[in-house]
Amino acid sequence: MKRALNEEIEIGISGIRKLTETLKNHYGFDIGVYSSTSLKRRVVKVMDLNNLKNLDALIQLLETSESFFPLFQKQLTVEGTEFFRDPALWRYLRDEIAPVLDRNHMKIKIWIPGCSTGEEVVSTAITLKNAGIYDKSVILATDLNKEIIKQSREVIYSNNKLEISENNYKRFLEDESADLSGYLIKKDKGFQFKDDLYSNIIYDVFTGTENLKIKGINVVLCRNYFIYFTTQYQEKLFGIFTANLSTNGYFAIGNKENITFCKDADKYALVNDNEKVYKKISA
Amino acid sequence: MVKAGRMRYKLIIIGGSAGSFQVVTKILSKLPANFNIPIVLALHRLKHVRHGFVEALSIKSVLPVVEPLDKEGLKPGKVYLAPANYHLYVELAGKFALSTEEPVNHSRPAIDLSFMTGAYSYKEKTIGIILSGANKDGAMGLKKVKDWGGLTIVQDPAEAQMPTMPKAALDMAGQVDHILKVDEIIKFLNSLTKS
Repeated sequence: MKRALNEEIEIGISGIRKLTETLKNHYGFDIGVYSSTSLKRRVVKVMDLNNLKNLDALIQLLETSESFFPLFQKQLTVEGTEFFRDPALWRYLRDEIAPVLDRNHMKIKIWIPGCSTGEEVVSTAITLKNAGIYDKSVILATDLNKEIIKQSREVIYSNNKLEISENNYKRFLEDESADLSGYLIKKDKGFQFKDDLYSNIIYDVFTGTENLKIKGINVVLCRNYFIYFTTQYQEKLFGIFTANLSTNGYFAIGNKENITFCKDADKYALVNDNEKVYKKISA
Repeated sequence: MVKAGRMRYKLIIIGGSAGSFQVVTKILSKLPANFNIPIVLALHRLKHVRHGFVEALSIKSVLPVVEPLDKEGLKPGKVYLAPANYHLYVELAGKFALSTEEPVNHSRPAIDLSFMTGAYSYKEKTIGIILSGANKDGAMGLKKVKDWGGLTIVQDPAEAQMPTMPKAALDMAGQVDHILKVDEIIKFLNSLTKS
């Protein structure tokens, strides 16, 4: 039943339209905000994961089983890639951003809007520990629903992620002998991180409309999140992030993402060109 | 000499891996300055080395070489290199989209995905070219170019430094339009803009 990842995307425009209608009518969930190719690939993936032979079967399941919907959203969400992706970003966070925040704030508030499988969250916590400011920090990790948040905290990472991640970690610390073993718990089929790493992480649902539990965010880590949305929705999200970010706060996107077309972009200065880190300079 | 109908093609996608760098460099050095079809390069590359590849390709290229940003529009006369550690999709609106989805054929960027999405978006206006490489990525993608009515070209495996990728493409796609040596690929591409 499982398709090869490079097999044809069989869903046409009319199929997507029908799915869009169903999700809007039954759940008020708008998939029109998603970038089209990724959306189609994820929908095919959801069909495979649930042994559904065609799109109609998926639509029928969504129409008849409300309990399936949170799982659908989870399966639609793209998993994180690796820990410490782009090591230079984490070094910048530790060496340039952390000292500034440490000097200026009693409490440091970092928001990761799409925490997915938690790689960025864990990388952030370890980096803050490295910088010696984790104890005065809080990381707000949000995603579409409780199912995804639960996964973000409880997922068992596969062992093949460890080698890539440790190589990143070595580059981050510029130390060939560095590894993550001090943070890890080995499991039967993979690994997790120790509980104390999660002590200052708060999880919450964020779908684009909620008020945040935490006000005056100092850093938004939003890397490789915008790529899954249309430019119209990117602009809307960017407006929300900007409204929640305090002046002099930092905003990071993926190195090939772009926010310069957004109206709010002129409130920012680019402070790290390679890693696409912006600083909010006006309210 | 292979002739192609003028103005028919709007997208050229080139896929390659081991042994393709010199080939791509040579092709880019021999295109005319008025070449007016966007070229997408889906080439395997080290995931953690983000810098240097565009610069290396630019040295001899007549046309500007860039790594596209997410949702950037394709423009004629530009060469677009799939960035490190992202999949590069070509979408219907003539825009790129990036993804960090899991690797396909152990690759990110995966040649298959750029070819499949480009073929779907540009249909018979697509040219797909598979070059040297030591694995099978791109084979399914080239088949999709063919299925959607595009033109398929494979570097002659006898000439390719690593024949696995061209051979796999020939196996998967069946009858392709042209099996060409590098010099013939260059002549062909040049014929696209000549009057």
